[in-house]
Amino acid sequence: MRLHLAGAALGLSLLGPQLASAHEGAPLVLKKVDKALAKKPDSSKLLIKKADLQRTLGLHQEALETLKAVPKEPQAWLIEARTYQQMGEARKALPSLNRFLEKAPESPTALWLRARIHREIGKPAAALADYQSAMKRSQHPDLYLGAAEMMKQLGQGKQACQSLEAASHKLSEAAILLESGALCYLKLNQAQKTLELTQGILKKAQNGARWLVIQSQAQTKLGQKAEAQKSLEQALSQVQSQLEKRTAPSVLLQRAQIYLALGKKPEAVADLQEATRRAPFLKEAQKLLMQHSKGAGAAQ
Amino acid sequence: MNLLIASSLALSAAALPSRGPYIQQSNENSSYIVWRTEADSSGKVYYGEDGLTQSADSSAAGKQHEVKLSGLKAGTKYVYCIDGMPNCKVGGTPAYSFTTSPKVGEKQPVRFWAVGDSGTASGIQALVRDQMLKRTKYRKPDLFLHVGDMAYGSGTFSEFQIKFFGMYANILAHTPVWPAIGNHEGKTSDSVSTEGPYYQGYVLPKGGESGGLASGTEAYYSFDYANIHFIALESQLEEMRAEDGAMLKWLQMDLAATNQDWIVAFFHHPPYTKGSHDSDVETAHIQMRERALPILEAAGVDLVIGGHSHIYERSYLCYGAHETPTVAGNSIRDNKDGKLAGAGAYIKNADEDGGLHVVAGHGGTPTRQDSPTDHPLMYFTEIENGSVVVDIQGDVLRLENIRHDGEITDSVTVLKKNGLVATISSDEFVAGQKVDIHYQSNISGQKLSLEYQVEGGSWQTIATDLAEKGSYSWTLPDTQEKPLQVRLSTADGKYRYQVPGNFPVLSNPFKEVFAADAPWKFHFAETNKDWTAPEFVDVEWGEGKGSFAVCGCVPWQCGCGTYIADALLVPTVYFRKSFTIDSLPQEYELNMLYESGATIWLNGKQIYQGHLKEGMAFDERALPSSIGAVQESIRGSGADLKVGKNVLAVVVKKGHGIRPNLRFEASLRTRGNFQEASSSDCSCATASSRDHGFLALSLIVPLLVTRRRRKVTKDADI
Repeated sequence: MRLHLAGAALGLSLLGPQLASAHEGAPLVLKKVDKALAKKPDSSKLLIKKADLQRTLGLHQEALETLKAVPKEPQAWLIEARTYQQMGEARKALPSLNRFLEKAPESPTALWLRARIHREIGKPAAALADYQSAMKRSQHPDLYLGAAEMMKQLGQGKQACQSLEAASHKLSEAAILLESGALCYLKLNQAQKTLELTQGILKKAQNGARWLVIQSQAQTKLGQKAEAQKSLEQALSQVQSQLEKRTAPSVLLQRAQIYLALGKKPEAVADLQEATRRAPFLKEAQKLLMQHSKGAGAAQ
Repeated sequence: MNLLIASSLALSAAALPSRGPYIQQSNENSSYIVWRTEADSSGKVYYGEDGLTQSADSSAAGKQHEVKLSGLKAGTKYVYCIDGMPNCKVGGTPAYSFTTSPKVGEKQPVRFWAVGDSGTASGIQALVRDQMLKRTKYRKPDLFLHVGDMAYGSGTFSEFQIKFFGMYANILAHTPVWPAIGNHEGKTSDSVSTEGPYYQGYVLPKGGESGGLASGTEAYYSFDYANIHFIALESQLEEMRAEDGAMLKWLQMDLAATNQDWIVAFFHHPPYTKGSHDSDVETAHIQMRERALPILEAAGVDLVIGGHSHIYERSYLCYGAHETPTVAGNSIRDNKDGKLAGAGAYIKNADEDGGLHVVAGHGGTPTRQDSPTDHPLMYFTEIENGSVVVDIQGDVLRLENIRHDGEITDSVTVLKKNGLVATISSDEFVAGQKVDIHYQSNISGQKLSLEYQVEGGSWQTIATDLAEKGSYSWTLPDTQEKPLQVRLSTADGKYRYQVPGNFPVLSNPFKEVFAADAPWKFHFAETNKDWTAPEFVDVEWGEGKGSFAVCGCVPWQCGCGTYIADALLVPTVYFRKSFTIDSLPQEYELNMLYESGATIWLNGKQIYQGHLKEGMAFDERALPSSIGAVQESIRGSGADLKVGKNVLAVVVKKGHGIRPNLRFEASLRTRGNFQEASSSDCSCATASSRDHGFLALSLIVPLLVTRRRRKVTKDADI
């Protein structure tokens, strides 16, 4: 039997925060649900609600315990899958998720979830199949990114790049797909394609520094050294003018990346130091700083 | 965006909107006009800059119409109407207007309204809306941001219709709305497939059509308006919040690509709250704080607006508090109040000086705080309904919380590098009245000057040689009722700030005739058709003090003056009030609140009709156009009054819906002396009575309205 719930095909009401979406906070709702359960201990609806609230509050073991009382409810299977996934036990999430998808095979959100789980447990082919099934009902960028990643893992690099490129056009020139496609082609040494996709973002961006760096990498691969240098200088100039307006740590990180591409390591390190001082939470800056700080010399 | 395919059956050429019209995806050069019709029909918009000069058709016939008007000029007002409306044709009568976005990057004054968790179709939602309209009467918002939960309980089509598109119809027809999805919309609308009533209703820029980088989905997006970059995120679905997911990657890219002066992010689950939800224990809040906020802060976000928690909370200027639980630590970058009339504006000279966080989950649903303490990063918390208006001008951001009763209970100012700001603390301006102008500048070494201008005339000095921060007591000039503007400038004239709005200065002040809690006669059965006549005898009618309600009184909603419990099942209540005046005023102002429809007669002459039509029977309810309480201010000529006894007669009707209420309250005030030349139909005033200056009033119950004028302790900075 297929699940005939209005939201099931969309993955609604069954997956996420909806069950815990009362006007009160989750802890308070949980107390109320417990109170209601004291009167109606067998209520599947209440038990499912309780489990989802427990999951939302990070009470994973408790959620699994609650779900044992509703073994035949599709919603419970989905919550169980989510709980295991959140616990980092992706493999355990699969059986219940499979059961749910037997009932609601077209739910893009459930398919997406299973794709992520397959990915986590190292089953790229199964993950790819799920991403592609989800795409039949949904056009979300995440699905295309995930599918491309799986294709790469399966050694289908070229198809991955083509898929990203096609998706970017299908999804209103989505920047994330254009950039991922550009980098994908760069890795395959199809630098001309990288240039084409990068242009798609540069047309829209007020500040194109990030993509000018990618452009320069592609130009370098194409042997266009002068153009590559020019792209970097243009990137630097755009970041400089941005810094006049905004002193944001992310802009300093961007400038550091340009300096690195220009071979100006001390300047890059100085920017990275400043960026991490201002934003200790900026992980990418920290990572780059670790990589490049050794022997960089002082750049005051 | 969803275009419904037309049915070949029942296709009519032009049909009146059953929803809308509303403005979507507006930018410098184009705007969508969106509306729905009951039956399948073709859709056409007539529009133009100076009257209706051209038309545009929807690409397909159906019920949902999304017509793109292209080739428009930036920052320009256009008028429009929908085919099928009266005289809607080239050269015809415009019904609405909208203004295209200013050029991206342009430093011009911008005002936006932010609301969250409003979708109840309750009287309080309507009050919140009306108090915003009242507060912004001299300067309307350019944009309307909604931070989610706009249609309780499940965001269904019909809930959207009543609780959002119906409730805000008059605003939406003129002002572009930019939404972020809430968890209640998420019950019937799916952000992965972008299907459901939320995604059907809106036309959002997934391709970067209004600035910003293309997100590829309507679930999250960005847009530019003047020098502000706005970002709407999807916070209610776990997949969207994934650390390695497309949304947060796109967010990083989008922020890297913007050069705008200001960054405003809005989404449903705020990073910090201790209201009806707790950001330390609930996953969505935690993940938005731990995952999205670091990206926003690294790029220098200035303002983050959320909802979900049914409360108003406003933070200090803070930065870098991402851990769970949140502790203040050194994340509060400025621990003062941020008020011009207090310790001064927050100064943001560098991006890491932090941003403001506002929880605006108080737009219409009952407010509450479950936590025993306020959030440590919040300067101000209020468990009352309201909404937020934000002004951004040059290097200045000002935010006000407008409570449901009209009080400005919180205001805060942020000054960037070259920011200077001034505010005037008065709701109404009367010649000769003293008003305080608070001002502050973040430009060192420059003295300041204050100036005013009357209706486009030359700028005249109020004060010069002012220090960097202070207040100036200014006696308002008599502008002969013309509006004035005020600005603050540096001595070298390089930097200026114009106080938002054109303020009309009244030559004479208003004085109260009767207050909202004055007694009225009322009757809730079929009555004589002459009941509106001044001479009608109403001695048999009941009597009670305002405000009146039939479906329960909530103190701040209706005051519980008289609870007409017997009228619970009755759709109509009649009210009459006698009052006397001993000289004719120049003008009267009747301020009232009713739910849901009303018609008013003054001395037998109809002066107002709202959501009712002529000749409605006793059993009939108000027109479906009315949702919730309506707050109206009617001004009329003093010639409509008589020296001696006057009579107001009011019929109020219940609306539709599950639990329609019937409420009514009114207060009257007058000002000035009647001038013969200004009216043609008054023969009752004697010369001597007009010479008295202002009214000498004989009030039936001259009680002052204090109920809705509660003072709050934390704020005095208007």
